[in-house]
Amino acid sequence: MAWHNWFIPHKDTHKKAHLISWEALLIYGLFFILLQVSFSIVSYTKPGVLGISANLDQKKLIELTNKEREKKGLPAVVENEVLDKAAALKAQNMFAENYWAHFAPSGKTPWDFISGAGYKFTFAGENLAKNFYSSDEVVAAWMASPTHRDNLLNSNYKDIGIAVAEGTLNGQKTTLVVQEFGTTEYVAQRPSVQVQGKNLVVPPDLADKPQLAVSTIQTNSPEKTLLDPFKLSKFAGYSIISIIAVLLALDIWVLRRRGVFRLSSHYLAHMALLSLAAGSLFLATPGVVL
Amino acid sequence: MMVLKILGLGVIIYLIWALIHHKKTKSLTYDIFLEYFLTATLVLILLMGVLI
Repeated sequence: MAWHNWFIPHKDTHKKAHLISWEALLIYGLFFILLQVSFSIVSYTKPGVLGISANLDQKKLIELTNKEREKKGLPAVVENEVLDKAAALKAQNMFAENYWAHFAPSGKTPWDFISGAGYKFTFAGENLAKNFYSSDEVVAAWMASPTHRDNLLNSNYKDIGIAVAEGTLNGQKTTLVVQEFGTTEYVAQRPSVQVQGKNLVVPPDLADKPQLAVSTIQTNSPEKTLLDPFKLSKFAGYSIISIIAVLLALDIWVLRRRGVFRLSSHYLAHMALLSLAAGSLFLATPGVVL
Repeated sequence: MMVLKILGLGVIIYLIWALIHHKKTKSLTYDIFLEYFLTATLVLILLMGVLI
C-alpha cells in the first residue's frame, strides 16, 4: 500500500485518502474514548498524577466579589477570619470524604462548618468552585450562574470567608474554592443558609452541637502536576479536527487538479461542523461551580 | 455545558441537511450516510470527552 494513499486520493480509483475514510473516523473516535478511559485508570491507580494546576488567590477572589457587588450598588462584604476557617474546614472535609457537593456523604451540612468554626450567623450562604485556572474565571462562572449570582449579590451578607485548597479529589489533583457568606445581624425568623438558590432553614438544635476542630489548610506552592487531562484532551481534539480538515481540503484540491468528479459527501458541511467543533473546544473550560 | 448544547444543535442541523441534500440529489448511499454519522459522532465525543 503506497504511503501517499493515506493522505491523498488514490491515483487510479480516486478513492479518498485512508485517513479520512469512515474507518479512520471510527478509529479517531475510539482513540479519543481510549484516552479518556486511560485517564480514569491513571486517576484510580495513581491518584494525584493527573490534575489541574491553578493560580488562584484568596484576596483577589474577595476583591472581585466586592467589585461585582459594587457594580450593583451593594455594600462590600468584609473578610471574616472565622468564615475563612469555616471555608477551609469545608474544603478539607470535601477532600477527606472525597465528594463535590454542599452536603457531605456523612451528613455534614454547610451550616455545620459555619457554626462549627464559631460564626453565629442569622443568614449565610455558600458557593463552591473547582478546576478553574484563574480567580477571574471563578467569579465570572459564579456570575454566569443565576443561583450563584443571587448568592454573591445578596444584600443580607456583611461578611465573607474564602478558602482555596489543593488536594486529590476522585484521583485527580484539584483546586477547590469555598466561598462562605454570612451576617450576624437579625434578618430572618430563624437562621438560614442560601445554597444553590434554596433558602434552607437551620434546625433549632444547632446551638447544642459541639464546635468542629478548626485548622487551616496548608497553602504551600503546589507540586507540579504531571499531566493536565483537560489540556491533553483539548490537544488531541484539535489534532484530530486539524488532520481531517487538512486532508478534506487536500482531497478537493487533488480531485480538481485531476478533473475528476466523485460521488461523495458534502465537504463544505463537514468543514462547517469541524469549525463549530473547534470553536466549542476553544470555549470549553474544566471549571465547575456548585 | 452551553457549548455542548450549541454543538448538539449544530450536529442535528448537519445531519438533517445531509439527509435532505442527498435525497434531493439522489446520492444518498450507505457509505455517504455513514461518513456524516461518524463525523457527527466524532465531534460530539471530542467535546464530551473534554467537558465531562
